[in-house]
Amino acid sequence: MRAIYIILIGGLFLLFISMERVQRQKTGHRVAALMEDIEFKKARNQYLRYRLGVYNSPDKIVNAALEDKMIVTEPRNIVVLEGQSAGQRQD
Amino acid sequence: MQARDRIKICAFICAAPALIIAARLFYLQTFRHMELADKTESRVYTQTTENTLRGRILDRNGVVLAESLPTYAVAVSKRNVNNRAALFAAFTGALGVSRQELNKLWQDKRNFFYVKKNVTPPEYEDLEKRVRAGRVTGVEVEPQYTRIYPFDNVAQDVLGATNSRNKGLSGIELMYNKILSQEQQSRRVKRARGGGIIYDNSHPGPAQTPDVYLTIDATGQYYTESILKKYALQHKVKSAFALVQESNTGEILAAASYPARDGRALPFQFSYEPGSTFKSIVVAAALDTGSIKVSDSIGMDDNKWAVDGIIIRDHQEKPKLSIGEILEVSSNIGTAKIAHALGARTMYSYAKKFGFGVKSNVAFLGEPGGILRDYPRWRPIDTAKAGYGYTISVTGVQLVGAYSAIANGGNLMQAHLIDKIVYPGGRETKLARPLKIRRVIEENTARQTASLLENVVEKGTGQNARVKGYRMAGKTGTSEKMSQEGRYERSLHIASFCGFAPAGAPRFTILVVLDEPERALFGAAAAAIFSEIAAKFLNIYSVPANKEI
Repeated sequence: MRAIYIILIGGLFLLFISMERVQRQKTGHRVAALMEDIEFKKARNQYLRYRLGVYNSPDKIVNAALEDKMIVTEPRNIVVLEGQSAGQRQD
Repeated sequence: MQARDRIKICAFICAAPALIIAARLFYLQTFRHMELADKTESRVYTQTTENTLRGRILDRNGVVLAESLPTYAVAVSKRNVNNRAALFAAFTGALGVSRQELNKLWQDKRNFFYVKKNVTPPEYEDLEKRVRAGRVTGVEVEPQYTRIYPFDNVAQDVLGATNSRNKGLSGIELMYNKILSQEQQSRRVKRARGGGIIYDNSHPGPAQTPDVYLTIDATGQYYTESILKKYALQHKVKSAFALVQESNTGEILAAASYPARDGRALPFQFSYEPGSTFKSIVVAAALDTGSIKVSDSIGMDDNKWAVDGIIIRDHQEKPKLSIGEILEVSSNIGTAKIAHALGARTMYSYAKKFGFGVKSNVAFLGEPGGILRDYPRWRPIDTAKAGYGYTISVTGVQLVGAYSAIANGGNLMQAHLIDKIVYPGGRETKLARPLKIRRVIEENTARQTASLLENVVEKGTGQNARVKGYRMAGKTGTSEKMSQEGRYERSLHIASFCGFAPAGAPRFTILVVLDEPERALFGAAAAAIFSEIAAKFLNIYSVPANKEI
């Protein structure tokens, strides 16, 4: 009788171990897939930032401004908000 | 035979093979361990060289100029393809590769071939969806890094280039290759069937790399390049460059070359005879030593002055010119006489103090030190010619540094192209700290010279350099180029302008050089380019106007 109990407990223990291993394997796969997904999303995010950088490049902005007939003001017309007005003699 | 003996024999028969195996194992594990471990290593594992991550290069404001983007190389293993038509449809739809190209690759290659490299993440995502939907097999994907430049060609001459394995080939990419790139990673992976590899999951991900910040201002650099290109095309020059430095700190704000090529930064690499732009240096030296005073006048000797039997000619109307007028009209005889009065030794000494004849600390790849021969070898005509910028050779960064010294009150500042290096985790090494190399001329001398240069723009040859609302200072220069036979060619010129803005409280020192313009252009053409570049920088940095209109 005692031997049967030992075999039963041993069997249960082995079953638990194997289930735990299967679960660990599944979780491992899920984690790996998530990690891969994160890496990919990071790469895509970086690529989108790169595209934004391209659209924000001075070349693109200047051309867009020219298409809209915008003209850059002469530096002397710039008003500095600390009290120095344009064209004002500083020295 | 007793039953007990029979049991013993049976037990021995059963145990003997186990004992033999144990003995063999003992022998293999103990005496042939190294040999077998090596065999296993070579059969089971292999080493792959990884395409490594590379650090970013940014401008002074943190704008990314170059970075590495994770991309993919998409390939096909013909043997494993189950549906060729669906596979080609996926490639054509997601990667834009034509069917003709795919058919050609399929026919030419035995099994494995690359369809497209540098596939961007969105393209990859699209391809993945199509491949899954079509249940296609035989697609192989290899992760890689691609070097990208968000501002396209801006500062490409300074940045340089990398090769397909992300190794720096020229420019900053090569100069800072060790810092920007990880050690070439050799990764131990398991071999799989069909030549495939199995990556070890426990392998740490790619290490982070430091970022290199330049002192360059990306917006200013863009404008400098576009203005230079516009005029270079207009004047049909062989080459041209422009360099902008912060007068007080020595930081390089823009370095543009035409034509722009990876790693060919002419402001650092091109050495030339400066011509009349060197006259300011001679006058500053003479004022500093007291050889001349601003109020002095120098005779023009009927526009012919003979030294060592060689006649130096001029085209001045007045018989005598003041020191200011000598710079305003760019008189060769005037500055030759000043140089002669200074003497070879003092001239040489001041040229050295101003930073000529030695490489700048920027140490850009291929940067020459210029030519400044030892003064004992100077004949009197050499000294006189040096007075108007011949017999010596300078680089852009040297001349800009010397003009910055005049602009900032007499101090030669260390030029900087690299602002700082930021390591993963936030630790940073600041490289562009303002560093005074030496005092070159007295503050009063610098002020007097700057005032003379302001008059050159107001009344003299540099009037094209004016910017409305600002006091500008600078000097034009035109030098004849030497032919391969060692003679000066009257038809080949270098036109230049070097100056600073705004005079009185200088912020930017700017040099423009046009090499071999189609027509005989004088420094005035370069002065016009200077004016446009200066206006842009005054605009970008919101420098208040300092002159009544």
